[in-house]
Amino acid sequence: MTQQPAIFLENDEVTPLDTIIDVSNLKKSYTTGEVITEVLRGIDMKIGRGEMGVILGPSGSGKTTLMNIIGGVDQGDSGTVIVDGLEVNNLGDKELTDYRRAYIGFVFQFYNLVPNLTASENIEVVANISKSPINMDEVLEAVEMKDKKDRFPRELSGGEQQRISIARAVVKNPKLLLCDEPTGALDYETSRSILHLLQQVNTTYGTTILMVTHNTAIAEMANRVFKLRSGEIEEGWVNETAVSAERIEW
Amino acid sequence: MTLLRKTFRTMRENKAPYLGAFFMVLISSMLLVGMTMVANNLELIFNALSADHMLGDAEFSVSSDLNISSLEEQTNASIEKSSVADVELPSGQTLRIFAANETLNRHAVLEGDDLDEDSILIDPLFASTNDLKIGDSVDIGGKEFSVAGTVVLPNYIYVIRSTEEMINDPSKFGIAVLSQSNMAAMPGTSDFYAVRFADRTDIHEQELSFRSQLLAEGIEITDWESTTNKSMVTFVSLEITTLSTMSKVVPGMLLILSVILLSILLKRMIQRETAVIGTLYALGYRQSELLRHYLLFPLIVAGTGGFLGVLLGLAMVSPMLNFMLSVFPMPVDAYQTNYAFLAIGLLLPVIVLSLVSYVVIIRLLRVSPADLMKGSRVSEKTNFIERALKLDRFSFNTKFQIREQVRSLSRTGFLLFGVIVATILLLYGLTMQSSLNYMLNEGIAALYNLKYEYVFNDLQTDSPPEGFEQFNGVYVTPDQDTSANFAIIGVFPQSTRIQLKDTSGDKLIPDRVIITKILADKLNVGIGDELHVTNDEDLKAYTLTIEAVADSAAGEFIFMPFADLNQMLDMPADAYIGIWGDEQMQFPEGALSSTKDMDAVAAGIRNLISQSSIMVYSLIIMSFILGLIIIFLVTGLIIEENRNTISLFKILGYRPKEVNKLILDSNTIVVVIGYLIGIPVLLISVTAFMQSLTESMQMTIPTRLNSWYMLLGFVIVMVTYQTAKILSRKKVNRIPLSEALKAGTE
Repeated sequence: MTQQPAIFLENDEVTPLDTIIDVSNLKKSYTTGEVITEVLRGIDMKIGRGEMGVILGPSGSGKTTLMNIIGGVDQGDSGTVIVDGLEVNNLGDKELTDYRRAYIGFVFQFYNLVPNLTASENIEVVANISKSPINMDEVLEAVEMKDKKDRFPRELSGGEQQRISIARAVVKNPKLLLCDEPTGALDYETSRSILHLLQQVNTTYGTTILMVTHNTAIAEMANRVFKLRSGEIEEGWVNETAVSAERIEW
Repeated sequence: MTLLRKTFRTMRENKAPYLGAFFMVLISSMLLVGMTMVANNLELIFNALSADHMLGDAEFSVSSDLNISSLEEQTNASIEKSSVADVELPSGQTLRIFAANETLNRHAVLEGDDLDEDSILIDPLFASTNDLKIGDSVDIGGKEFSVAGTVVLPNYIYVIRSTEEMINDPSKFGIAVLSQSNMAAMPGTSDFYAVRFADRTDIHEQELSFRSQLLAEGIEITDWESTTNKSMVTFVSLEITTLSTMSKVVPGMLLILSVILLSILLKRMIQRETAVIGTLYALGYRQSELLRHYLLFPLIVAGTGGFLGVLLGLAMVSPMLNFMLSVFPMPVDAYQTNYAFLAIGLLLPVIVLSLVSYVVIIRLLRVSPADLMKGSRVSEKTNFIERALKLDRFSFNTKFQIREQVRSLSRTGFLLFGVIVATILLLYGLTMQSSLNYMLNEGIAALYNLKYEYVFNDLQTDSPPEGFEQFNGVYVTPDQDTSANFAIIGVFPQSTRIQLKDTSGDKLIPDRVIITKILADKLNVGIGDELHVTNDEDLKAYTLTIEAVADSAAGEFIFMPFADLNQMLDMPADAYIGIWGDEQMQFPEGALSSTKDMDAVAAGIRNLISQSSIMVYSLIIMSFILGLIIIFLVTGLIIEENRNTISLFKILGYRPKEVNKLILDSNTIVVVIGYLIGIPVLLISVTAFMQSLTESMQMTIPTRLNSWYMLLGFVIVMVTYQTAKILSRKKVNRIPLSEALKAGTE
């Protein structure tokens, strides 16, 4: 893998042709009693449409907070977050809901499936509020879960649950798919198959994917990588030789 | 001790459901103790009055004087001759004055002094309503009497002019007692006898043989009224029966609700704490110690609720009993604190709740510590209904809401049962009103085309007054049910005063034996069946073949052609006992045995309807509150169970309205089904209850619930439901997005 410094992080020389995420000087802190914890200390990052981005970093580095702000489930204290031309950081609750509804797909570490809905019904949760959802059967086919669509989450393995979770995120054909440690609760083989699936989604539907992980190996399949430490982007690069998920090892 | 702290903390964190269960137990114990003790004491007081003041078993009039001592010896009974007169006071009220008896139906002085030759005793309600105080003078037939005190007669506890009036009106009518000598000097009195049998078993049989004895001696009974048929006495039994029934049914239902609620809470708590339980096992805790810990929850709820309920129940006995005694004035010679009921009020919820909780807890604790340690998410298990459901054809919202209901069957059962209970409470009073309305409009008004009914003491053979139609009648007792006497009325086939319809609404001409539906149902007879009856007067037996059933709710009657009845009774063909017409008539004193003013009958029922409004409104408010608590608790449980899902929905872009619709509206179907089930359950129970009261009321009220009341009930239930939803919205809105983001990470 060749690494090329992502100059746009420093001098904006290398920018994606069609930027879908544009974060600029984003700051966020939490106050607990008298203690103020600065979680994000001026983040700048850009990701192009259709790219796969990965945010790397240890626990407490601020990667999930950054993703939550981009996803519209949290808000920064200052700075701008522009997603597909929309300034997200200034939106009110109602607009944020509409933003998440129209723009964002989420994949969680612990799947977050509704336990008393079947696999296909879990996908319907999102299809139900989408203006033009992708055909359910097509999505189930894509995640190779068509034969298990009537099973309840409890009757599925972790990997299968994550497949349903991905299908749920993809069914509305989001502009941006945010994945928070999507393989964090899975074994090696299952993790690789899930990563492969995400890559397929990226290529099949052209969905921009931003993934948060502490697994550095996953960076090999990304187009852009951001390494966070203590609320700052310590390092960022463009990966021009992104590999297939099946070739990743850790 | 540490675990005890956890118990209280857990309860504080989930205040609403624990408080809900606590209040249900409290109200349940309070009603159980309060109502049962009031009913028991009322019964005790009534029995004491009946025994101490020698309540007669029957009152009767005969055509000639009786040889009392000889008859007493022959029949092993006490007999006393008495007299009564209705006197109109100068202020316009009617006072029914009885002679002070020495043996039977002896008066009891409630307040003041006993009678002397210059004084009168008056019933307390009449006295207080008309501002008559002890020492005041009352003009009775031109003679002044001083009010010595207030009085009750054991055979006239509930002071109503006649059975038809049903509701007492002390501003117009009251009773009083004068000395025998004063009564003897008073004009216009009627004599009657009272009898009480020495053997206190099988009174009805003794009455029959007593009457046979009179007949055998050639004495004609012109009027016979068993005390068991006398509303003035039986309304007390009616109240006791109602209170006793209610004191079991309502607390029982509330106890069941609190049991279900606590079981759900315990189950959820243990499921949530599986990992903690596993850890405690690992730390050396025994199953029995954990069992004790979890049993503390029902013990605290049932113990405190039961204890406070018993105290409040005890506190409500006195005011409630006093209220009862203001309607049914009786001397309080006996009062009992029933310790057994106090113990039941306290221990029943504790035992029931602990037992059910024990079963729930022990089942959950049976899981191996290793499995518990893993914190296996038992709540995610799918039950057989969830797995069997095929919901493909429904919209997502419908699917979600159906799944939400079948997910926790106990929770759905709690809601369903709660709505049924609330519906029953809500519609109980409305059904009573509806039934009375039906009896008035579809029954009495539809059957009788007349304004006045006059019944004579003696058979008449002259032509009736112009515009009046004559009828004959006899009271009979069916062989199959000796407690159910009814009247056979002989009417002309061309009668314009009686209007009968068959069950399909077609006019029925009384040219054959027609039974009213209400009586046919009671005796379980139909067209073509033979009915064996005994004449209540001369005890002769007859057999009638039912030829038609009239759809009348006016009462329990058999109508047959006038001529046929007279022939059956072996009476002259033109003999009649009463007349029907539209004019008010004056008859010589002593000629009439009874007068019925149909407007007064209707007014009596309307009066009863309007008086019952307070009860109806109270029940509506009570059911609204109960319904609100139940629905609020259930939505609270649903929200708690779905915290993660609600949060997830919000993250996925669901708007607050959509989340509320999915989560809070999922109960709609259960609420509607509960209401729909509640109606037949209510009608069945009210019918059974009415039947149990028939004897005391001397009339049968057909159970009806008109569709407007059903609609009103539905609207109230839905308003309750919407209110509970509005109250719950805040809870949904408060759930943060982070709930789902953190899921699984703790």
